[in-house]
Amino acid sequence: MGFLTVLKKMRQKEKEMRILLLGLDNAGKTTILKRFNGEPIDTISPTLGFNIKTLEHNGYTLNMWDVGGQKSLRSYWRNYFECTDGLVWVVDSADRMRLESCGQELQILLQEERLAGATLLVLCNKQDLPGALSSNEIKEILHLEEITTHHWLVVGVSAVTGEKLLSSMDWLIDDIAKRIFTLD
Amino acid sequence: MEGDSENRKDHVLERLNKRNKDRQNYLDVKSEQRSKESVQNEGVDYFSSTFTQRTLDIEQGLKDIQCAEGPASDLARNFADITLEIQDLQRYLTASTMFLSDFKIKSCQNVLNTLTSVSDETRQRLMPKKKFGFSGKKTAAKQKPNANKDIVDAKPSKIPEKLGSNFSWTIENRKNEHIVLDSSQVNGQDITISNVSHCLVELQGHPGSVQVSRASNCTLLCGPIARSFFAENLDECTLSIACQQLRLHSSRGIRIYLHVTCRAIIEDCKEIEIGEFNYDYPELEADYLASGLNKSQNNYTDVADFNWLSPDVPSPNWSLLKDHPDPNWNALRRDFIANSNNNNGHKQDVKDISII
Repeated sequence: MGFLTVLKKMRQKEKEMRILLLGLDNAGKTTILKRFNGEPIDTISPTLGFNIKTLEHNGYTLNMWDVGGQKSLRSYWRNYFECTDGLVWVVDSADRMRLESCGQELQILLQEERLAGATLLVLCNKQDLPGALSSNEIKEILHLEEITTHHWLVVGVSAVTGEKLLSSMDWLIDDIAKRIFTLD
Repeated sequence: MEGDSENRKDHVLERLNKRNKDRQNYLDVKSEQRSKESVQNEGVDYFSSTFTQRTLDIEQGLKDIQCAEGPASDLARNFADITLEIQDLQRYLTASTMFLSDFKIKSCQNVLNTLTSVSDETRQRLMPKKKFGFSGKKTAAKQKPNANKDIVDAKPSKIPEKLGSNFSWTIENRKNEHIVLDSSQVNGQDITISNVSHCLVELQGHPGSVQVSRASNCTLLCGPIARSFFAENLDECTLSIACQQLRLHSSRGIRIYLHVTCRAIIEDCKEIEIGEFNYDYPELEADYLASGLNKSQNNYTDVADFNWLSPDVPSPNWSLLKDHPDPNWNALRRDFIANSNNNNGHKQDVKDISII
């Protein structure tokens, strides 16, 4: 029995998932992660590298990777693709001026081979702001209907109020679990 | 009598047996736990020694490349090998994350990131061919967005139309104007400003967030922003901002009087000067309270520059304002109005605009 086999067995036993949080800068990735983990969200600085959180949810161990979204950090995103089970794409729903580049970055990710098996959850964040676009509008602008390569879902959420955050994460975890844990 | 003592003996024996069994079970559990722990530790130890060894190997490989002199094809092959090794190591780390501590993962990932950038940098230096014209890296980077464009362009006019029909900027396409928004237009809103030049913009209230794109020769005065201030493509502007986070991109010649409770970052910026926030208007105190910003916490001296990652040498792209008199906004406002009166004749210079 090789080292990798042991690791795989451990992983199945522990029901572990690796989830990657990506999106443009100022989308609220760290805020979503901290809110999900029940930490205070009023002391969050722009992410200079990345954050990792391991947390238990619904009997699964989630390994959440939150990588900074600055232009100069995006070329490092590919370093985190390996073994990703779920991709959470965070959109700033109030940021009209960069929705197009947000869509382009997402398309690049979707063509990435190493993310081919991952479930995609698009979170339209900042729904509490009066100028925020609805998840339906963002679905059209990002052309999400055209995605056939991944399981996907788009949800309007607010990291500040916590609205719909848990239910959308539950969907993501269920979808991944159906794929990787029911086979054996 | 006899039967009674017999009974008691049985009872005692039973109890002793039970106790013995319990003790043995307890020992078994203990030893199992111990062996489990040692297996785990072995895994971690094994991982760190392997990881360190492979890191050293890669570093050695990079050094060898720099010393060795040979034909360019060798160089290219060596670099390809090193890239493969780095990727391999990345895979190893990723596969091992479940038994490593967060700190360990983070430090190993940092090592990997450094290796990647060192290797990229050495390659740039040693293979000067890339410096000319359309280097391999550039074309590769360019091809990707193009490939995506095809998909996006399938419905070319859709995006602008959508954007146009669904929203408009709070303030856009203004020139030579004094724009004041009061609390009823600002509080809790997300304020968006686009394409303004030679304007004095005042936001007297506590916005939820503020976004600015394309502004030149402007002054922006703003009350406490509950969350983030985001700006790009500014040129020769003066800002007075209180916020939780400040993000400034692709701008030059900007002076910021700043109150930031978490942190400010800049990216692709030049000639940025930072001073302390001093905008004032009657409801400022109340707005601080309503926005939830901590008035005693100001990290304006600690700006992170994404184009300058060296921790020991300060970034040349920004500096703190020193020995500089605090600006007098009232005088500035007066001068601005007087000036625009002179320039525009009868044109109304103070405009209130409403949010659509």
